Amino acid sequence: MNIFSSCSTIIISLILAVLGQGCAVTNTNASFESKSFIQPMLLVIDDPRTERRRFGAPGPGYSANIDYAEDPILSRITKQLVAEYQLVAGDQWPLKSLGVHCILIEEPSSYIMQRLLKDPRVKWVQPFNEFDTQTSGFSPQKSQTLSVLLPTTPLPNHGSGIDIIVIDTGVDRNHPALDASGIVFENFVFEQQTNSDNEAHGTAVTGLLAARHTSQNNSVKGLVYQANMHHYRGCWQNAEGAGKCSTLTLALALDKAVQTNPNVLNLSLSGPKDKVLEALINKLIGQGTVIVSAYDTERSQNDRFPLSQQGVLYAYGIANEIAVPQFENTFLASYSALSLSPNGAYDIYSGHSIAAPQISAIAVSLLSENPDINNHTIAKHLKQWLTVHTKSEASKAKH
Amino acid sequence: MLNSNHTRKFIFIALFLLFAMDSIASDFPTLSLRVATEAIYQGVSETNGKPVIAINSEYALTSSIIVGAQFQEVITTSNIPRSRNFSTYIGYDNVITKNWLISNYIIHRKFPKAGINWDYNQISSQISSRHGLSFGVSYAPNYYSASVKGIGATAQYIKDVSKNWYWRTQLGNFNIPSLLSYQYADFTIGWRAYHVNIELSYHWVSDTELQTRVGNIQSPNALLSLSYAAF
Repeated sequence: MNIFSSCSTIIISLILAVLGQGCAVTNTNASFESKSFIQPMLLVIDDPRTERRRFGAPGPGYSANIDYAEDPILSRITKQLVAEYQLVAGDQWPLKSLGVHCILIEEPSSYIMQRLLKDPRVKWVQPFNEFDTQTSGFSPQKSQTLSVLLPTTPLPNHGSGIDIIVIDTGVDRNHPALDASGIVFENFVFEQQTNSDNEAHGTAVTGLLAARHTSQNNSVKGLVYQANMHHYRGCWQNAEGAGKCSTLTLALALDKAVQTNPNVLNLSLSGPKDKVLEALINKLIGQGTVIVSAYDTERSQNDRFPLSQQGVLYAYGIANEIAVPQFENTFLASYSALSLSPNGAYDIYSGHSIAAPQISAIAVSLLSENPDINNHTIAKHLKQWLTVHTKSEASKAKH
Repeated sequence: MLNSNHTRKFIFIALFLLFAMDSIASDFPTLSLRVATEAIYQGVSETNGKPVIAINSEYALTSSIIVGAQFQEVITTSNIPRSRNFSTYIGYDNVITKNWLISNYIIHRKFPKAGINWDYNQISSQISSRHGLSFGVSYAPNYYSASVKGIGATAQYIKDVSKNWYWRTQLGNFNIPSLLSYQYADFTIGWRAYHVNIELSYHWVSDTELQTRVGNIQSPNALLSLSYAAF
């Protein structure tokens, strides 16, 4: 055995190999380069690797065991398409769970678009969309005529053993009411690192679910604080304080969510229909994840993210409305709630965003009680649970 | 360091391909370079502890039909018979269910510096799971050009620990009916980043020194390798 005599050769080779990375095009650190594009589009291509490489199966010869995201074939096929169609391209990133590769491009001419859509290497071309978190103005007055779930409504349990992912803006992990070590945090907004732990919307949503410490100064107790909490920063807070997300940041967060395979995914956000995000949502639903999303009153049923389907539950925050919308798989919850705020503070929040974690909490609680129920039947259970508890609330109000 | 003109030519061709391929990238052959402290094939060392450099290239005729070639050369001065190996192969990968793949390959192994004809053909069949488990069998009707059959069986499992780290283990049996039989196992820890992959393995073989017609084969015990996916 002559390991050490060949170490120098290996080290030299390693240095040469790493230096060679300067040639790589693939940039998996997705950024906001789309801002410089006039009409950004997303070119989605199929996994160009062979079947054996897709499976990661050993072959008869030596091959480097590298991550899909680093496979040089990705940058080569991108270069090929860019050159062939004279595209203006920005970032590119692979989505492992879908086995596709996404390339940010400037919208091509209609002639080029037609050719691209006929190219067998191309899966589809879609708009590069923006999304918003669903919080509106402060509205503390709750209707006296409607009985809905309150954030303080006791649930049968606190979600023990259930995995929940919140995709939102950053969360104040140093908030005294949060157990930072109990929250798995991942950031997918790579060029907005500043204050990534300290954004209002994400702190409020995760606070409603996971706040643990109660004291005289803190009346917020997380609805399912015993659940396994994951907070993915897939949105960022802009200068005006609004939560924004993009196809890129949400795709990366959802791709990771598919790998984590949670029981419940909370999306207190909305936006236009988005093909790549829908594909990821379908993957999650196929794995049994319950998707809870804030209802967007501004969008039609056929142009929203996520689209209405089995496995997707919409949360509708109810305040002073007399006529309550009755959409399929849409559940009512309190429009306003006291929750955590950045820098260790507390605040009252309102909007359909605040309704979403309440519905998520019921789903988590139901799953904790009976893990065998699937995402197709949980809506039925949720309806029963809400009906029973709505009657109970009404009964209490009468007395 | 490099012990022959052939090795220099091989490196020259590899570098030429490395820089030329991007300009002709209408299809996508792959090219991997590897440096290792020795070469192990079917559980035993082919280079008796001598470090090797190897280049492997594959070309996908379709996403399922693959042709490949691999050249391997001992780096240090050596007169061992199997210091140079050139293998070519063609195979078919077939997805049989969502999570299982069957691969069938025909491999021709050539030993240009052996001095005598040791070249032989081998067929291999393997079933692989998307989750890292694989089972394989191989059959060589004229093992090292001899009138004996070489029959191998392996089971392998690879597990990703994180994006950069993984481990792999392998169990195998090799049998030349009525002549030789041995078992082997190995455990590997691997690290990968960018296009680079480093592996450290510990190997075990049931016979510490095998007497064969290709000479004594010493059992390997540890192996360090570095691979680079050039394209």
